[in-house]
Amino acid sequence: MKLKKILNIRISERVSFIILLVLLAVLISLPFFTPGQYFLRTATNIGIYAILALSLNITTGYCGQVSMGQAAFMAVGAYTFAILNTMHGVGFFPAAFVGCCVAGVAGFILGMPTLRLSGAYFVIATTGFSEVIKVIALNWKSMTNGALGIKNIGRPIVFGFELTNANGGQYYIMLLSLAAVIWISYAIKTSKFGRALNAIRNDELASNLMGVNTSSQKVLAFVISAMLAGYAGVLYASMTRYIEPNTFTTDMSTIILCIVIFGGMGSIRGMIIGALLLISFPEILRFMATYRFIVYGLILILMMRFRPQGMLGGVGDKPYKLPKGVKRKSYEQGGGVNGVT
Amino acid sequence: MALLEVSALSKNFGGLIAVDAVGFEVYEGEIVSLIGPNGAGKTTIFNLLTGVYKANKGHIVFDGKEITNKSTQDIVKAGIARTFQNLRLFKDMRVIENVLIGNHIHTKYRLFDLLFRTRRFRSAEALSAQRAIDILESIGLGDHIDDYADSMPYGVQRKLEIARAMATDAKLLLLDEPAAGMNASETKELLDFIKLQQKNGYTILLIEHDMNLVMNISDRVYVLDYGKLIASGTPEEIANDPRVVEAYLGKEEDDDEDA
Amino acid sequence: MPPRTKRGAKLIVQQIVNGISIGFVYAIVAVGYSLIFGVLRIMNMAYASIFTVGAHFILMFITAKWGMVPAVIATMALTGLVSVFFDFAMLAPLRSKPGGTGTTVLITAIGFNYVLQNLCMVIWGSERKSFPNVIDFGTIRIAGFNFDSTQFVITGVSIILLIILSWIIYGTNTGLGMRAVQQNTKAANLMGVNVKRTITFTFFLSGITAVIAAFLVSSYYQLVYPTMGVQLGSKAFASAVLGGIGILHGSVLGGLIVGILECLSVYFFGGGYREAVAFIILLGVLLVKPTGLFGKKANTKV
Repeated sequence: MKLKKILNIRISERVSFIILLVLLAVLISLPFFTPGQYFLRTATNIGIYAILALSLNITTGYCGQVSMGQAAFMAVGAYTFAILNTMHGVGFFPAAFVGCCVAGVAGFILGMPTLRLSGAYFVIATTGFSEVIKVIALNWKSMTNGALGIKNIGRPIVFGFELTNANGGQYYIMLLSLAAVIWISYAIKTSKFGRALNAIRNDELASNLMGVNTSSQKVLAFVISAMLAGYAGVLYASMTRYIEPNTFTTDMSTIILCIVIFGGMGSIRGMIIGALLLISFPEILRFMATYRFIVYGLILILMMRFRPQGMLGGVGDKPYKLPKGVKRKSYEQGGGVNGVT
Repeated sequence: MALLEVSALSKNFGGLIAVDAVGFEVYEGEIVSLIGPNGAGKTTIFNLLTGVYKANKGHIVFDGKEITNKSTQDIVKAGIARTFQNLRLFKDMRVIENVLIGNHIHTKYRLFDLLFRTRRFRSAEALSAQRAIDILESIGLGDHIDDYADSMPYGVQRKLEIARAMATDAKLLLLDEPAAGMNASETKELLDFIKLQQKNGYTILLIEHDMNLVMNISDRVYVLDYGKLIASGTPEEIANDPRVVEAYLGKEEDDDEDA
Repeated sequence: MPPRTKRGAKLIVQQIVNGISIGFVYAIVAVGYSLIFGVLRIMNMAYASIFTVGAHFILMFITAKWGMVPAVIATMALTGLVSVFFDFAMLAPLRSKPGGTGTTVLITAIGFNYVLQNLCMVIWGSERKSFPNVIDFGTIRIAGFNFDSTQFVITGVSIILLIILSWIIYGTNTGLGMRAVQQNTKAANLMGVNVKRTITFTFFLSGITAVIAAFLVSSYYQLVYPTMGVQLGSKAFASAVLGGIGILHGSVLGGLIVGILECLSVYFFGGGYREAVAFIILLGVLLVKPTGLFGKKANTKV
């Protein structure tokens, strides 16, 4: 796997910075040289899955709690958004915001009782929760239109200008959203919250005995995870313009988990590259399309067996960045402040 | 008044009485050892003190406040921190991150602060990092802050665990068999280390089997057997106490189970 | 999966009867989960798809003009092998790795579950296929109620299966070995129990149990499709957790309770929210007493 080799090499800081700039330039200018709308749609789809992977990463990657609930939170966010948008005329941004919040509340309701239980019970609870959300969507016809679903879901309107797939607007919304979610993930990772989640994943009891309120940290992580997934649901609904109870499937939750595992639990780059590879391969390798779900399952199995840290896990996991002004004695290069060579 | 006052503390698991009406004090600045044969209830007492187990009877008063059956977080905030018999470092995290976790409760900022990198975030993080660096440098790990915790030699890991507990700004350190698995020179290092922390103002309650360490380091010793306190006093006093000798000699040292 | 038909006036009793028969199916599958949990302390997340594979295998043999009995027997052998393969190829290698955490096993099982389910889809198609009901002997009238003979057979077969399982576990040496491994794997090993063989046997047994459940469910609803294991799996899980996972009689009682409550909810609240009942029960159990009706609380050693 050549790709694996490339990803394993420690690239020097300057080179990686240049690569990043080039990548950014390509990403920003993508709508202008894409061969047709389909390509842009796929790119937007990949971006949404990257956001979903990043959302799951907070609960599963940082905190080590395997969850199969992301699709359910997508559904909650998407339905809330769609109902407000199509049935009550609320604009994209306020409706999206409410969608996130409701998804967060759902995350709180599910997480509070179940996070204090062991991993396996938690997975079951999240799987069951998915089923329940689907049942509610099917049966609460007055709200959700039942099996008929909700159509003509609105798209973002910025200063009177509607952002569609055709004009590249939706792609940019996705890109901005992805940037924001990357920042959120990074901000959490490099803070006491992220460290606490990591500690909980390592040894919850010891974390407790060091004063960390493990229950509240786990729930908070789960709520954030749910909100981000809810937002991804909003983006998805806005892109496809139609949702129904079977739109957000367990398949999606499995794929998202697969991306997290493949990319490497905790690695932000891993989530993005993982989403890119795993969502695009059925498009590129057309003959594999029918088998893609089997591939996803196999990836889960093989990763756990041969490379549990994921493709990018453990590689370039940066050491702790010392805050400015912290004084150290007798460091090799004479009282340096940041520890990275 | 004692820093830690335990009275009539009892804990049973179903029919098994693990701790039976135990009472003892630890005064500020002391090093007190808790000894006894395996299964005597020593670690259970630590678990009771730190809120892992709920006491069936009795009282624990720390620093003038009643902490019996309080939550672990409240107890840590009050100023008690511990280490573990079987070493419970955060293996996948770096040395400095381990110590930073100890300082978690004193790093004060909210979600908003970390998302928007406010001044409060930056100063709290800097304060916390400085504390961690200071502690690590004082135990000689200043050059190893980025190493992964499980890559350190065993004796160093033990010290790291104590450093992590120190980062909670605890007044009382509970050390559970800190010398377990150490050779003679490592034990000597540990002894000096603990004595140094006493000088730095920590009060220490420790469980130990290494009699050498216990005799050399303790101001006072309590002896437990079958969940009951059978003797207490200075190291010399309890070394000559026939009940203590009998408790140890009349028992088969069983290395699997523990208190 | 909706209830098959509605009867006349005495609906509640009817629903309880429905509940008992479907409850027994949940019980059998819950027992399958409990067997594995008992011996390995893991939740077999792949069990739902083993159940599904079983149903598809039976249909495959039937379509090839085999009789039902040979079809079921052949499927038991095949599915048992699949179950054993799962342990042998996926779980066992993780056991020998140091720090093989619960998460690794969990994700592997989720992955395998997904692979099996989608293999069924790829090989046999994702549409719902009809399954003959050979245990339908018409309606039976007792005390003024109409009972479905299929339900009778389901209940009867389930009870027989549970008796056989109990006999195996409590009456044979192999079962003794299983119980020993459940209590303390190391000690069992030292006492001469062949732990590997016991684990393999347990997986084979749970596979067979899945096949019987698959036969009963497919006959009752006369449908086979790749995602049929998903809901059943969740409900059986809830049943096992309710009774106390790992505890056999707990799983049976749990299954019955879930089945009855589910069918009663159809009477009181309509059919739409039926699927949510098991989950609500699960959530309730996890909130109040996660170890279930018969489970004991474990104390953490620090």
